[in-house]
Order: sequence, then structure tokens, then C-alpha cells
Amino acid sequence: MKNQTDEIMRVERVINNDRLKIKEEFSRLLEKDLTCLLQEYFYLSSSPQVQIVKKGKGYGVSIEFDCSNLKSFINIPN
Amino acid sequence: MARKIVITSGKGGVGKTTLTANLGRALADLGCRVVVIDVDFGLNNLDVVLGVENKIVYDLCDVVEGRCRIKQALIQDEHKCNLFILPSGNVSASSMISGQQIRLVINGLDGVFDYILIDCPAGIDVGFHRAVSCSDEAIVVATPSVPSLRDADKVITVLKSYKLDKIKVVVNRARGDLIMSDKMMYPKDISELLKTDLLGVLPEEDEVFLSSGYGLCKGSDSYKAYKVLANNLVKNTEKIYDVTNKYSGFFGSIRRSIKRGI
Ligand SMILES: Nc1ncnc2c1ncn2[C@@H]1O[C@H](COP(=O)(O)OP(=O)(O)OP(=O)(O)O)[C@@H](O)[C@H]1O
Ligand SMILES: [Mg+2]
Repeated sequence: MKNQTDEIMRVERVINNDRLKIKEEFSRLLEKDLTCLLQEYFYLSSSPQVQIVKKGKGYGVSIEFDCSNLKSFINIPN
Repeated sequence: MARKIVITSGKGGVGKTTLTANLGRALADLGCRVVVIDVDFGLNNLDVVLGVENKIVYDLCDVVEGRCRIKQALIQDEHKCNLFILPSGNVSASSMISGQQIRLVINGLDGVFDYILIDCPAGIDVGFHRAVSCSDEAIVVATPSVPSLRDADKVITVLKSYKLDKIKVVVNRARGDLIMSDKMMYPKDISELLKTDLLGVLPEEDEVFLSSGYGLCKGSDSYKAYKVLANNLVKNTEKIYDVTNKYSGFFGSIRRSIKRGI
């Protein structure tokens, strides 16, 4: 069932993607790849959220996620 | 100098023609001299919505191609002596008509009218550009739905490149009951999403459909909403007709339940 807040967020997402000329799949794939990469370094407690905004002639990209801890690096013996 | 306002939307069927006709009537009620022009060649309906389809002798194409003078093509509304319509012509001739030619016709009406409302075709191709290039201001009609808002946003982006004096949005088919039960977006939120000022809000009402060709009944919500809209346009105010009014409070909640039941 439709809900006001969800609907606003949906329009915002669609309009934003149109304005930036990027497909929704772009953000989804990027978030998926980032999750794989970030899992190597962090114990993630939320999946990364990517926000892309127009900035001058280029784009401003911010990535936000929560983690419970950092992963320690172990030296792999030769 | 007349204010030349194009009524556009991007998405089809959201109520451009209905708004052009009823806003024209509401402005005429305020004493303004109004002409509504149909530039939706081929899919022209403004004549039908205003109920003058039987009175057409000449149309915009005839004026452009020099078969008659503008005055001969103008049709006076049956009930309002200060409201006129300039109907559009057939499809085949329209492809040859440029925005420049329509602009010349519209300029000829400049001193005679206070408001020139231009009913634009859906989409953002030739017909759209032709209509916008004749205008100084734009009203973007949108309904509270994702497809309509997406198209409205695209249209607004294109309109900005025309450097018009004003671009405002009108939310049509707003449902007070759904807004009150958190199922439809508030018009204010829509205006924020589109980053465009709100000129008015019009309720979804059977009356609009039923009155097509005749004019809105004076007591109806739509009639009141159009009055507020016309006043905003004339006085440059930002009053918004409250579509939720009927659905708040005790009796409002009963009305909401009844509407849900239907
Ligand atoms: N507020 C409203 N409440 C109920 N019905 C409405 C409302 N506004 C418009 N309609 C109905 O919606 C239908 C489409 O309206 P209209 O022809 O004005 O849209 P349009 O944007 O001009 O379409 P097109 O893009 O094809 O030119 C009509 O039947 C009209 O009566
Ligand atoms: Mg129409």
C-alpha cells in the first residue's frame, strides 16, 4: 500500500537520477561492489549508502555506512 | 500587455486542457479579458471542453495561412463576454506551422486581452517547443503520481532554458482524503521536490468530468479552487486551496471512511 513518505522518497530518487542522468542500476551496483570492498576492512553493520549530487561541472559523491569494528590486518606467511 | 501563459505538463492526460478552460473562465469571472488558444494541433480538445465545437468556422491554421483575420477565428464564450477561444486546426497543416508564425498571431492579440492562455500538447517535442516559444510564463500541471512528477521535472528543466519570467506548478487531482490518511503526497512536498513554486492545488472531483463542456458548478470545490488559483495569478499571491479541509475533524474522518468504502 502506498505511503506518503515512501512516495516522496521514490519521487526524489527518480527525479534525482534523471537530473544526474544515471540509472538506478548504477547506484545499486556501486553499493553492491562497495559492500564487497568495505567488508575486507570493516565489520559492516549497515550497507553503504551512496549519494551523488551535481557539483559544478562534475559530481560530488558521498558514501556513508556504519561498522561495529575495524578488521585487523594479518600478515599472510609466504 | 497581455500575460502569455503556456499550460504544459510533459505527461499526457493530467488536466492541461481542463485547466486552460477552467482557469480561463475563472479569470473572466474576475473581470479579465481572456483568450484561450489551442496549440495541440490534431489532438485539439479545448473547443470541446469549452463546449464551442459547433461554432468553429475558422481556426488558428486559417489565421496563420492568411485565409481569415484573427477576429474571425475567435469564438466568444456563450456565458462570459470577456472570454474567447482560438481553436486549432487539422493535423496535416500543423506540421508546416512554426512557433514564429503562432507568435505573430498571438502578438496581434496582445493589446486586446489581459491573459492569453496557451494549451500545450503533451510531450517535449516540436509541439511543446512551438507553444513555449510563444509564451512568457509557464504553468506546469502535475498530478501527485511518480510518472507525472518525473515528467514535470523534465519539463521544468527544459522550460528553464527558455528563460521565461515565471514557472509555477499546479497540482491537479489532489485527494484530501488520501492526503489525510498519509497515502498521497502533500502539494507542498511536490513543490519542494520539483523546486518550483506552487500556484495552486485542484481537487480530484467528479464535477470536473461532468462539467466538461458546460463550466463548473458554482458551489463545487473545484470552482472554489479555480477561484483561488485565478486570484493568485492576478494578484501574485500564494494562497492554496486546502483540499484536506473537508476531511479533517470528526465529520472529516467519517467522510474519509465513506470515501474508502466507495
Ligand atoms: N481535477 C480533476 N478531477 C477529475 N477529473 C479530472 C480532473 N482534471 C482533469 N480531469 C479529467 O481528466 C481527463 C483528462 O484531462 P485533460 O484532457 O484536461 O488532460 P490533458 O493534459 O489536456 O490531456 P492531453 O495530454 O491528452 O492533452 C478529462 O476527462 C478530465 O475531465
Ligand atoms: Mg489536452
